Amino acid sequence: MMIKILLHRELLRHWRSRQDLINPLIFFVIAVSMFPLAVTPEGELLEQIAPGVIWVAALLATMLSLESLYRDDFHDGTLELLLMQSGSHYKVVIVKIIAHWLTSGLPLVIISPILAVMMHLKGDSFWALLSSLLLGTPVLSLIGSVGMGLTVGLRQSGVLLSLLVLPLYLPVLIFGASAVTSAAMGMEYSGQLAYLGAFLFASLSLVPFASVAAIRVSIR
Amino acid sequence: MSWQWFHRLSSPKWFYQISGRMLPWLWTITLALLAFGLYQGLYNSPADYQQGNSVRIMYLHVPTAMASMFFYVYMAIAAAVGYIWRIKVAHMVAVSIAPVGAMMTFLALFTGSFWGRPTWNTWWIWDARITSELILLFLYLGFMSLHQAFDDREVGDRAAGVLAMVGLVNIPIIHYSVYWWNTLHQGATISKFEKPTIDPSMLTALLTMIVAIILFALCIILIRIRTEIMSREYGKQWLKEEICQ
Amino acid sequence: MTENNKILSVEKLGIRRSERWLFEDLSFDLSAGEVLQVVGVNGAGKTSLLRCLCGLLPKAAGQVNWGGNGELIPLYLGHLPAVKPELTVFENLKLHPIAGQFATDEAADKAIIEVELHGYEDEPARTLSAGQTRRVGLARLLIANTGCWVLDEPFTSLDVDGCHWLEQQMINYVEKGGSVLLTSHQPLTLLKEPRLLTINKQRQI
Repeated sequence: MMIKILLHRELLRHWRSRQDLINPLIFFVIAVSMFPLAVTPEGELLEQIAPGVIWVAALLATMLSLESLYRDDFHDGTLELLLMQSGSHYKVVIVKIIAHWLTSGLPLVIISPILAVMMHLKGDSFWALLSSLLLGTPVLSLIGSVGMGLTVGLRQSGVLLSLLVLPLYLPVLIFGASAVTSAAMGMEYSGQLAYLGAFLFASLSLVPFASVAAIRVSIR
Repeated sequence: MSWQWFHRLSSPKWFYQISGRMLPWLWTITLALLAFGLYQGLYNSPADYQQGNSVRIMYLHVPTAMASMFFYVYMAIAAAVGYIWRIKVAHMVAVSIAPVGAMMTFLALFTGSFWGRPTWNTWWIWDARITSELILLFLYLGFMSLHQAFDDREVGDRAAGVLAMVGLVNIPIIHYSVYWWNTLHQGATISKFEKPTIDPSMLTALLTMIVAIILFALCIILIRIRTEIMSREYGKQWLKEEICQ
Repeated sequence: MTENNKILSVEKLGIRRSERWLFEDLSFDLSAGEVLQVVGVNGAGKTSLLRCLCGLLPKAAGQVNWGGNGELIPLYLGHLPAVKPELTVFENLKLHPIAGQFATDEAADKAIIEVELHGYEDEPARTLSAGQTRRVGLARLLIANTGCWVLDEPFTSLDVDGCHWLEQQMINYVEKGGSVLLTSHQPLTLLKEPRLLTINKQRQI
């Protein structure tokens, strides 16, 4: 019951400032589009770098979107109200992460096929891209919440957040991009997806503790 | 008995005094080992039949790489102790280890770069170990940047503590992922740092240098901890007495 | 452990901020039906004390025991309004937990009328003035089902009528057995003089 209402609150507040949600998506598209311009528009080469490019852009776009997790609530006092009055830090944090993924990660997954087409990725890779992003973006939201929790009270936290969170994202990047590359070469990629799934389950169990600890450091 | 020791260790004053007494001895041992190790490594052991004299960089590269990993674990444990049991000295230890660990990591990368150059004609190569070291450097730098971003150092301690613990859990994952990634791209990397056939004198030199470098880092870390204690306990009576002695 | 009618029991509390002790060794109790006013100079640590008691600031030493075996969640009104500008007044009251529960529609409506924000239920909170925003926070007092209010400068941004109103609410609440822990620069005109808790470097009461 509490989770339902908290989730309702999160989704409502994201919806009311939906213009903020579009920015990371636009960034995603622009970032990917820069590569043909910067490297080469040749289909074959694009196809080779596509998995990595799309994944890196997804990572960076997710990082840009992390602000929406805590920043506003922190500054208008509702975050401390939620933590205190709900009686359960974990529920609040988990609901926020779920809402963040639904409003930032899932849209990335949904528009990724368009980017796949733009980067000349072929048939099988589509599914690999979708499934790897589907498994990977929640992990990005989860790990990102720890970084965001630690830095929300700091000024100029954007760059610091990247430094903290990007190294932790690297395993997801490695397996995610590799899944798509393998698919593009016609090889099996279920192994990579299995790893991503493992990361997802591991973070679901462990990250909430770190995330609660992180946000409690910032509230004082 | 051991709890008493642990409890006393958590007092800045006691730590300061003990480390003050230990340091001269530590330095002596460190410098002796360094001298012996370098002599063994640079003069007394053979050059590799494949890599020639450039293999001697190994005597710096391997110890610094090991030190960098060893000290990250130590830093994370100290930060965790400080976070869980709220022991200030533990936080001071963690904060003092970080820059030294980062420097060790940098040296490992730097010496690694020099090692490759004569043999493979390239300053940098993305093999698994080097890439892992690079990511470790980012983890150290992240810890340091996060800590110094807080005005209130005690809050910064706790924030960096959370980060260090998260990093510690992630290190095996990152390490394994990078190795896995590397096996996909075998073409690019013929294990750059192929272990040269180990001659006994090389082994002595290597082991000596490993211990020597770790002790060297430890000496510097102790000095940093003492400075940190001075900074945080500024104005306390016991500190004034200690310094005036 | 707290006795049955003790809302709050604090033992040897110490708080650090900016690497210094704000105060140490603070001990006091709060019983049901009591009003306790924390006084001290600016920067003495009044706000920090209140936040620490609510679990929003870590304590450096000592114990804080809330009644109900530690399960009591007080209602906290701090400096920040805790009102989301993009949600409506009604949504602000309905979607935020208060003392572990959520308000029913009727309770929220009633509270809005009580704080004289009737007609603004469906207005986004960003259209409100500072005083009106403050009243949304105060509406939570009416909805809360808890034994203690922790109020940090609650009269800020309130006009004279608002101040009278709040004092009356406090009187009603205390009569029904609730406790109030507050700081205030303004003198209070309640039925009974509140007990005072003075924070200074050396300690208290």
